[in-house]
Amino acid sequence: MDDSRFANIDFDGLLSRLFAVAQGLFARQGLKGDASILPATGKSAEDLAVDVISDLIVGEKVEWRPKQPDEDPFPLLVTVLKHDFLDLVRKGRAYKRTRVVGSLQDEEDLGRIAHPELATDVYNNAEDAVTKEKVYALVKGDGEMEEYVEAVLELGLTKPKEIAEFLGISSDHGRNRQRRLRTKLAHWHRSVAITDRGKSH
Amino acid sequence: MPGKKIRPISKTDEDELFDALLGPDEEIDLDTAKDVLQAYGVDSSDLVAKLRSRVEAEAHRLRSEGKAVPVPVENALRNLRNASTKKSEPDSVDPGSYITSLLSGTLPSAGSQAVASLRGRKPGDRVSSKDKEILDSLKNELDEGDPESK
Repeated sequence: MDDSRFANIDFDGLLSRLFAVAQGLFARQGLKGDASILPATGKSAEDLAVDVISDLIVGEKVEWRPKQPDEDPFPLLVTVLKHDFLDLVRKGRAYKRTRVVGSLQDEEDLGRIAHPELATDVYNNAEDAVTKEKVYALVKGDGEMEEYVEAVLELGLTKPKEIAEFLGISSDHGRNRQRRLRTKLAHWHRSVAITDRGKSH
Repeated sequence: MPGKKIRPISKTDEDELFDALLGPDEEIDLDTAKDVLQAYGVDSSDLVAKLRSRVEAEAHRLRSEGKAVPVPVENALRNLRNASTKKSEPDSVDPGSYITSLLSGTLPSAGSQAVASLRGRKPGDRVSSKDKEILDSLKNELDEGDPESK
């Protein structure tokens, strides 16, 4: 059978989307900025995105057998990337286990909204983790975004349909607000890195 | 260990919260991803170049061990090389109209932005007579070096 895997994949688009996912995971963890590296692993978000596709192509980690010629491997790769990220975090945590345990309580008090498996990490700076306060600060002054964030964080609405119904907006508008928040989060995360570079120089 | 099964990661309450706020990671579209790349100042062609060199290294390793490079890997390499070539090709520009626009100070691209910025002007402002003099002399120099213009 003719094996045309990877002949027509848009690698540029695939890498871009995986980079966005990886940076989102880094941002949620308070790992800083554009060149943030997971402690003890030397891996950046960029490395994670490239590694995942590279492993797919050389078939070392996961075998991809598309049912349709134009099948998008992205959902599968997101799962692989998240597994890799969790593995790296565990590795980093083992490396940093001796850090001050007392800071755990502080991080919980900040209302951190991260994966519970990750929420007790002590090797990240609590200041840089994504908290409710951070999210509100990002959307301050933007009425549409504020009401969207309130619907999720205060009323606990998580289903796109129920959020859209509550706000009286279409699903497309809901998706647009999610996209705006993701971009705002990325800009904030980058700015943390720039500020830190300024401090260290 | 080829063919290893990747089990899905079950979503926690926190994951659901992030999904609701930002949209599920699995559904990130290209436009959103490009916005994120821009926010971080990352060029996707750099990512493509990294991937390409990684896959090339793997193909090289296989060949050096006397093994055949699998067809999907060859496909990926060809595809990645094409993607790199496409990115490095400049947009086609008609040289005549480009120079005319440049001289009239109405170049609707980064070029006019640069000229305007140098002189503290806004994009779209006409160039000063002194700037025009400089550009005319540069044009003459170029024409003198061009055998077709003689």
